[in-house]
Amino acid sequence: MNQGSSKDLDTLELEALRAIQSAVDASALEEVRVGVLGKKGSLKGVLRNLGSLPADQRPAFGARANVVKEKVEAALTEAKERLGVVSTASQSEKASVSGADVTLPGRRVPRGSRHPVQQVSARMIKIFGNLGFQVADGPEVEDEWHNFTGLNISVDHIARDPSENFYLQDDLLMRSQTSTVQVRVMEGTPPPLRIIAPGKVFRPDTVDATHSYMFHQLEGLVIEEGITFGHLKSTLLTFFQQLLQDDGMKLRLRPSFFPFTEPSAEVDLYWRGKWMEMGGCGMVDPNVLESVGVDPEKWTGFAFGLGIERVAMATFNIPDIRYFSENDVRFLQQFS
Amino acid sequence: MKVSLKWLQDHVKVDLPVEDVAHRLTMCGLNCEAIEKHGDDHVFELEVASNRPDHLGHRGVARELACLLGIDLKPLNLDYPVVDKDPQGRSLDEVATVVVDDEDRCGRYTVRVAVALEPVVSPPWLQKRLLAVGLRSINLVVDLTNYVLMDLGQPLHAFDLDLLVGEEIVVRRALHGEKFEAIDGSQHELDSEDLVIADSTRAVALAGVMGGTQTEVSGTTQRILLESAWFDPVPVRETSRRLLLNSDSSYRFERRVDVDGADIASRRFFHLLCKETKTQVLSGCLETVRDGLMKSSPPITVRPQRTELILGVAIPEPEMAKMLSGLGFKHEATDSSTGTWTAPSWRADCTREIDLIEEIGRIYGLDQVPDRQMEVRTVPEDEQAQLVERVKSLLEGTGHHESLTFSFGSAEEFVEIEDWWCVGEPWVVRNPVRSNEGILRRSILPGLLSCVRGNRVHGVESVRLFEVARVFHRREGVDRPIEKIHLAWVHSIFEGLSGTEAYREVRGVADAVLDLLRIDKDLRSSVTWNPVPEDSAMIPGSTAALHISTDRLGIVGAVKLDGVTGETWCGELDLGSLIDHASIEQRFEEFSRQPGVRRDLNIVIADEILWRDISSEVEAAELNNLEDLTFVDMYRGKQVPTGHKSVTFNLTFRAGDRTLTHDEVDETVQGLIERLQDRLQAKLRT
Repeated sequence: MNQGSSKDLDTLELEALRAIQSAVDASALEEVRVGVLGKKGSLKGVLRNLGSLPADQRPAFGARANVVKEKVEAALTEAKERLGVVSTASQSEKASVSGADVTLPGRRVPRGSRHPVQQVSARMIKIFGNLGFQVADGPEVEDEWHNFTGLNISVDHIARDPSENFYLQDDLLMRSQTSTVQVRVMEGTPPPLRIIAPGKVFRPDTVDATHSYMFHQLEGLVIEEGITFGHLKSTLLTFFQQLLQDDGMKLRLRPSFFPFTEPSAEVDLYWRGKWMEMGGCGMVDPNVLESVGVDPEKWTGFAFGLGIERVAMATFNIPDIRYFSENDVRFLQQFS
Repeated sequence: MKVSLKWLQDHVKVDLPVEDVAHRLTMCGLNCEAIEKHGDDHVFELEVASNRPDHLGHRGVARELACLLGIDLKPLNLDYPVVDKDPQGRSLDEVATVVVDDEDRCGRYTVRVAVALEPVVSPPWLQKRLLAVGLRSINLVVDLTNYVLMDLGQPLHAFDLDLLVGEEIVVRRALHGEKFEAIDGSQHELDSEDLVIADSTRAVALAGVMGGTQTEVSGTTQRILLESAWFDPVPVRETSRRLLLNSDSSYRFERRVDVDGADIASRRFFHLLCKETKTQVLSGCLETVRDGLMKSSPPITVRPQRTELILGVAIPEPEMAKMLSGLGFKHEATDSSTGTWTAPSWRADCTREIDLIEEIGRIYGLDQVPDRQMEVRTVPEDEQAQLVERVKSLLEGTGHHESLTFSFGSAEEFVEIEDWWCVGEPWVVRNPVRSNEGILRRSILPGLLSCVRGNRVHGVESVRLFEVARVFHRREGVDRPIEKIHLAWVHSIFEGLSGTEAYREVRGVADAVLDLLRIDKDLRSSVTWNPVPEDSAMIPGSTAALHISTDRLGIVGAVKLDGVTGETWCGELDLGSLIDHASIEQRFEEFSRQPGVRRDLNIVIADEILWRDISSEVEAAELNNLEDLTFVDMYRGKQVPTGHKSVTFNLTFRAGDRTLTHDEVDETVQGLIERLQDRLQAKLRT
């Protein structure tokens, strides 16, 4: 009887399942149920043999029997559904289901969010991606060459001043603009190039509603043959049109000065009733091209740098830049 | 800089409405930030670019307008009557002497003298002009020096000659500790880096920055010595910065004034002085000039086709020539299709063809350049970015809010977590904005935990945050920071889960990320989680570390936050390194449709035995057809002997090609039970 016990279970299971399959109506199913699972059913019979098993085999056998019971029950339920039977058992189930208060709100589904600055950055990357710009990257800690010299910023230019930068040591500092990536990309890849580089930049600044000492810029660089200022204008206009989706928006490029572009311009945007400074741009200065070994007679290009926090604050109507780094959940979840 | 419209009109005939003038100036590079009405005048607040010191005077601004309008500037009258000798019969060089000791810092120094000065109150026109630009009237001489500064962008300084001891001027380095009182009343102690104007006994002015009280011109001054000079920009800026002393003069010297302009400004001053009062100006000028300073700049050739390429518009050559002439550039004779020009002395910023092309673009109007579309280009897939994006979506989808914290940290809180990630000194920031943010962070957690505290203290009861950002490690032999990308997440919930359940919830995120990344199959066996000993900043016994082989790639545990009740749990992964081991590919794999067999096992083991001991036994047993091993529950208490715990887990078996029989499974499970009994002293629970 010992070795046969599990065979008995196997047989019982097979027979029960076969019977259920071939049952044609509710009463046939009920017959199977009573016959297998009932007080005098076959399962109980097999279980009675439990005592004759060696002690160490009992738990495994018991567990098996349980599994069989569950299988039969499941098969019965499924068959009832198939036959369209409403059984007494499912009637009590129904009672508990139909006893629910269906005006209760649902259980809270956890919904996180993306930070608004990252959302804006992602949108900008997408739009520029459609215009053929690939994402490039560079380190946040830079050296003097990539942050100044390569960008045509002379040795006594005020931009190098310790009060304008976070120096780590003489030659290393936190990058003060994402234009550093322009130099890195051009050093590593010959033209033609079309890249954007979003990232963190650092400048010592008294922290207030519109200033922080760490913020985000999106740098853009195009170096191809025959690139003109007209291409720069068109690119920025298309970008802002896509970003803002607002016919009332106006873009203005106003002459300015940056050491690494010539001509240089400030990017002004008129949107929702006021003019805002969005960043700077210009044709890449030939000195910069020469410093990275690109022939300015053959290749021309433009570059631009846009402030991401500014766009985010304008887009979402956020009055104070400090919300971004405070990370209060009541702020963050508004952008989920 | 404040610029008066009426004052501009002294230099150029402009009849446009005020707003138009403001707009024209803005669009040529002098951004008009505000317009104020001043009686019958209007004052523009203009933003002057740092490379255009010539815009720091009304005539320089007027020149832009004149060029834009295609007209000439009105001429500047520099004439005045002179006398050869003063009432005592002395000529200029007998009345005053000038010695310049330091030509490196003082490139040009000019001196003129006027005697028998009749003091008068400044005339209304002068007072009105000064008031418009925010200056108050002091006396005629001082007012005129200020007027010429605002008019021509050239700083002047007048000394009372009777107060100059020895009637001499020496331009020298200050003595270390030399005292100086400026005309604004401030007292200073100078050092040898500072350049001073001195008489024979003491410093009477801080060169390029400010005059001294002792020799200033008053309402009773009868003899004046006028300095009009050119000081080197960098030393002036350094002195001004160090002594925290600046002025309209230092502002201009720092940006480089016009060398030629020194003499013009001086003559203009005397022209105006003679018109407003009685005085005798001695003929001549005492002057020193550094060799080579006033040489003319080399000619620059501008190619029309290059101009068209850069700007994107073809401008006829005569039009371009008129623009450059209007700005003061001189056309050299040429017979080719290119133009050769020399820059005026006030345009030290123009040395190359590209600089002139920018000038042409400015005056033509950058807003007039037609738009040009670029060619269509495609962008290759960025796998790493896609993986990071998927990880972020996972964190967002499981209820975490993305945060943004600063890259700087303090060396105070949770240092041990930072030390765990990267042994060695953190990189130090020399001049942090806040003193408690002086290092580059080696872990995101300290900053993120700070945000958690902020949230909880301000009443947010359920805080789940995450961030993907860079941290900065030090590696021996490398002289710059190693930048790594980390993912960190935190759970801090008022009356939330605690203990093992809380751990499992936080750990679940790490497991999901690893699962998502599909770490290389060959590495999977070397992915282990191990308890972290007591010395991390986390609560002892709560922390596990992820290793792949010997690399530290993650940490999960609980921390105690001051001011926050309950447990705060957190985790951090070296996402950059994990992505290096990840696979983005999604490939179909056939799955089994055979029914599975599930077995629940409940064993009693000693407390010290951990889940990883059980799971590694199961793995080592290499059970046939084992599909899944899942932890269910752990229990300590009644019915379990002390020093022991009860662990429930289930095994799922499934074969690819057939239905497994219970016999087969029984045998396999039996083998496992024996193994666990043998190797872990496990007892099967009935």
